[in-house]
Amino acid sequence: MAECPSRFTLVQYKSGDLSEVETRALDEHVVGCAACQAKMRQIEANLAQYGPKQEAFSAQLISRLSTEKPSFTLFPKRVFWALSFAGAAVTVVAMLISIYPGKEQTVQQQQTKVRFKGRVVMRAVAQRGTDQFVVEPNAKLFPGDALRFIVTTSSEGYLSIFSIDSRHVIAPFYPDSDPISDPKPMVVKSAGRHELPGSIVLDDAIGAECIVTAFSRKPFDRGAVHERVRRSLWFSQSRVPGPGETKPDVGLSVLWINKSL
Amino acid sequence: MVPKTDARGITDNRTNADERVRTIEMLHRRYAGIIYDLCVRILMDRQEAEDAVQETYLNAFRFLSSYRYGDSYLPWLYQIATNVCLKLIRTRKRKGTTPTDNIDRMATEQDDPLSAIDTRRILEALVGGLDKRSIEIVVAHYIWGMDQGQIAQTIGISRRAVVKRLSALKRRVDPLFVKELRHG
Ligand SMILES: [Zn+2]
Repeated sequence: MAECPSRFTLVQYKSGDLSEVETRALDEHVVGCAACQAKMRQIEANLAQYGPKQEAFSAQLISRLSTEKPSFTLFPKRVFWALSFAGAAVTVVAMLISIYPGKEQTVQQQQTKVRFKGRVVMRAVAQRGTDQFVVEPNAKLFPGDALRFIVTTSSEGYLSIFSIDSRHVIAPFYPDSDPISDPKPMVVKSAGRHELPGSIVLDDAIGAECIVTAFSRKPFDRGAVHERVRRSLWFSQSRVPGPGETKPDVGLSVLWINKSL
Repeated sequence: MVPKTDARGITDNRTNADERVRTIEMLHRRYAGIIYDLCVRILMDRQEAEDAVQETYLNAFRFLSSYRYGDSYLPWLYQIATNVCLKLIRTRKRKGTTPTDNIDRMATEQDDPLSAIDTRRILEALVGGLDKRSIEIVVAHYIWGMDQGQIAQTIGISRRAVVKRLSALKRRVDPLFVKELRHG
């Protein structure tokens, strides 16, 4: 992306409303653009300002809503068809707005069965010396490279980031404690884009390594999820665990890297 | 009826009152900070921006049925928020009250030239003379830097109409922003 994105696009980026491809392009751009970083800081400052008041405002809003009566008149804008894809489970929703002149519009909806699992997109930014770059799939990295993680989640929920190296050894990153003694995942308090604190310095195990982010709206046992993902990598030739290979309500985002000396 | 959940994990529940309230609560949790950022940018007053956020969500509740399922919620909320802000500016202009401008603009203006602009003063000058749609286009184009496609989608008019309106507005609005940029 050569040109700076609009302020509105940055807002969509911050709220996690862009597609994975768009988000990746923006990651690339923002990492190297001081002007966009400044705008991001401004957006983040405003979010930080509102954050502590959010709960109180939400309660106030809900109490006001209880005395409201909503309007059911549709704005006569346009007829459209909407397709929506929810992870591996495809949701097809067709919405038909029929317009009756002089009358209120009616909405008819048809749909297939909907399944949803916690959606997460994880990206990593590597720091090598003074260089910073977005980690592409199958990127060649070196022991000592430090990785920072950015995750975008579809809701609040629970998260675990870990890696499985070529010897199939699991290393927990976030949280970094041993999942046997501490099975609790990390709490994600809101939907959207989160930069995780600190960074992970890569060890000297050489070869292909799979970094996995598991996310769910409900708490889960980290050890069990790690094990399930490891088994699916071990037994299948496919490099990415497919749907159904983890608990159905746990979404995965996977990044393969190659460590060499 | 099974509630629909879209790609962002947002459930479309407009069938009963409780569900509508929950939808708004969820949208508040997810986007209120972002909407606050939009309002601060237009109003340049934190207190007013907080009120505008609440008003935006009340209007979102009232007009929940205008949300087109499958679209992103953010442009829809943005559009409601813009109109709430413009209404506030109009009211205040009519009453002749001056904005408090309690935004710390100095801190960021070196990085972002737009942050040095008193967008509010420009909008106050424009609200009397332009129609509602034109003002919406001014905000989308000059403040949010949206491209023609984004403006068309957000406002719900054709691309061609956006192009036509923008070229008609250019001569009148460009100088206001350029002048502000020069003098800060
Ligand atoms: Zn930029």
